[in-house]
Amino acid sequence: MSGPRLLIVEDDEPTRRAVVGNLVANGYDLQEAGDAAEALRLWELARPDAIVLDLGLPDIDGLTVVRRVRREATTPILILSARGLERDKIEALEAGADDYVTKPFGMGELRARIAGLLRRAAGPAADATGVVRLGGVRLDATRRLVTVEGKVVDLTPREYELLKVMMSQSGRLLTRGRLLRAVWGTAYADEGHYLHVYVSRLRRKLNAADPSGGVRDLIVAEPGVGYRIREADEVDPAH
Amino acid sequence: MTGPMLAPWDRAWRSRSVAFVVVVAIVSLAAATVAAAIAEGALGVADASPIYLLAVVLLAGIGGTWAAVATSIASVLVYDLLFTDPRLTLTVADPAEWLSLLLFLAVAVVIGRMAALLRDRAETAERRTREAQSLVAISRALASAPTAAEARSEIEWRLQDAAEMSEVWVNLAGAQADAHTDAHTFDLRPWDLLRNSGEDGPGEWVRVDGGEPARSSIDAAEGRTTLAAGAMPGGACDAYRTAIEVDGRTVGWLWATRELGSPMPGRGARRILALTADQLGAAIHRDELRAEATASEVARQGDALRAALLDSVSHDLRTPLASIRATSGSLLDPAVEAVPATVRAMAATIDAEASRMSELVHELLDMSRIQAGAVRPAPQVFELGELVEGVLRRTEAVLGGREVRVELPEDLPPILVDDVLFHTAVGNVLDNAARHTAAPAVIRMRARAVKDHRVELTVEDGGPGVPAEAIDRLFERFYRVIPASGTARHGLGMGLAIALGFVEALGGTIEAGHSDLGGLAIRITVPAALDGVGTR
Repeated sequence: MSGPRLLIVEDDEPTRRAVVGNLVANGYDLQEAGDAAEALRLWELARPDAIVLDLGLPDIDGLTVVRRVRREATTPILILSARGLERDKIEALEAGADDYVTKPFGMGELRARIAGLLRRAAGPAADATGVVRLGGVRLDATRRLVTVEGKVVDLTPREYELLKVMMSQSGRLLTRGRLLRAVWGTAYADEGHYLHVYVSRLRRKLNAADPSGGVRDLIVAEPGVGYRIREADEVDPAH
Repeated sequence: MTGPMLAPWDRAWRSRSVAFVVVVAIVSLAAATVAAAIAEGALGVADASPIYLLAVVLLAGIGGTWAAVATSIASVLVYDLLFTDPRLTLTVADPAEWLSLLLFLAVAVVIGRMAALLRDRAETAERRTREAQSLVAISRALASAPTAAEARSEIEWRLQDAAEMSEVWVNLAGAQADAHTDAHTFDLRPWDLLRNSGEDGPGEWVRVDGGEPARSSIDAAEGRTTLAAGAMPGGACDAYRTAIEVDGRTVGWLWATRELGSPMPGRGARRILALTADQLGAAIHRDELRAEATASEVARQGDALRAALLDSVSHDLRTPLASIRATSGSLLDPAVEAVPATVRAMAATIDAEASRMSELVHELLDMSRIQAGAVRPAPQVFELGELVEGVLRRTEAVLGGREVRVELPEDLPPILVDDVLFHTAVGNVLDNAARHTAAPAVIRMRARAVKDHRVELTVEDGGPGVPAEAIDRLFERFYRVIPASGTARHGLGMGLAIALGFVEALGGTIEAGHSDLGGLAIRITVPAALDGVGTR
């Protein structure tokens, strides 16, 4: 049985060759494109499970590819770019990308990010009973109940909403704007202030419920961009 | 040197008006007459006329040649009237007496003239000395003041005294004045030219119509005025103005005023004013040259800095590149046996060296953002603990197994920072601490709320610390404290410079000191968030 099908769009030949070699060796089924036109052709043709996309392409900008794909599908898109400024990341994520890895990057990290995105896309975030599990955290959407290692965590409605939005999109890099719009509504899209303080409180409550530190790294801040929920085993998923 | 004010007697003595000379002449003639009467009457001296010579010498001293000659003639007349028969007439009975009187007159005139010459010479010497002293003092003032403009007030009062003017001031135009002023007038206007000073220098004796003279702009800027001594009545005055020139350009004027109708200043005074104007010109020229030299020195240091950057960067970037190429070259070489363990070890080397290069490039980019003024913080409210945790996670690799004690009080207010800049700044400080702290020593992070609504974060280490003289230089670019053990690897020396640049962009402060743990303590303060934010 072949592994997950990936489309890699990268115009720099050595980088593409190295990434493809590594991912194939790790069980992925790879298709390669060196420009946007070829990428869109392969996307129509093969409908891969995830796309790894360079932004600086020779023909049209990678962001255009992101928007084109997003019109038709929720296929996970991971940006691989040398543009490292926060505003570039935010722009790509707001356009519909799911995660962003800045060049130069480590292969281990790239694989971990790809695996995280595929896991989210693989199935519904919540099971049939409306329960999401991530590491030691269990969120029951029907009863609005959060437990850590079996202990109930007392969250305010906002904190609960925040956790729910994050857990239902684990693996994605969620921009501040996206989180604010999802939890507070569009009127608060620029009020990053609330977000950080709420995330701090949420983390503190979750950590307090698990003294072993098992959920300490559940919510990871990406400075200047937003937050990402990651599962403990994401660090080295290929093995 | 005396101050600007003179005693009334001194003033009268120096000015020596005609009335004063006449009074002295009458008094001394009277005294000589009394003395002669006593000598001829009581003491039986045949001819006491030489006593009058004393009066002549005295008047020569006071009034000069003409006073001496006049006194001689007056003495002859008085002697003729009172002591020569027939008395109380100018008639002289004895022709021999005529001869005697003429002889006396000749001797008196000669002695008076000689005494007057001596007096003139002494006065000239004294005046020259005073001039020289004034000029020396003015030179010294100009030499010791940082700029010519700052020596002005001393020059003004010294000249006022030395040139006997009611007021003296320096007006500077152009670059010298621009630095200090907005729209102050530069000259007294309107005025009529009374006289050119001729060969004594580039001066003019002019009449100024009414109104307060335009004070120098610099005085106005400093809120100081030298108008107090011999203040102008606000009306018209006569003024002697001397151009201050640099390379043929007139950069200002030296003004010296006297009351309306006063005589033009004498040669000596004019010479002092002209020499002072020359010195001012030279000093201003010196200031201009120095400003140019400073500008070129700044440019030169900029070049030196760029050279240091190139040296440092080329060395630090080449080292990992060399290692990468050597390792990958070995991997490519068919002669090298590809044992899997060896290949993996070589790959690990390449990976490590590449991430090191990546860090260096990142540092360079951060530094160039700071230098280009392209750091644009977007501050938001954060809890310090969250940020510190994030920084620790990111610096895990550098910290290795070192123990980091984080001591943050529960009630610390949230802070208002750009988290990207904060992460880098604190990360660099931690990185620096880790680099200089051998593994068993501890690193400590503490925070507290401080005054002015700020939060202070201190990063301390138990390493060997840095020498006192290095503390002040820690935040300079490319500055590196070479550890005694001579560790092979070091950063570009930009980490703390970047921390400084970013913390300042955040509206914070950063400083270095000694820690009671033994090593370095870096204190960072950042603004606390206002109360109430984030509670909704």
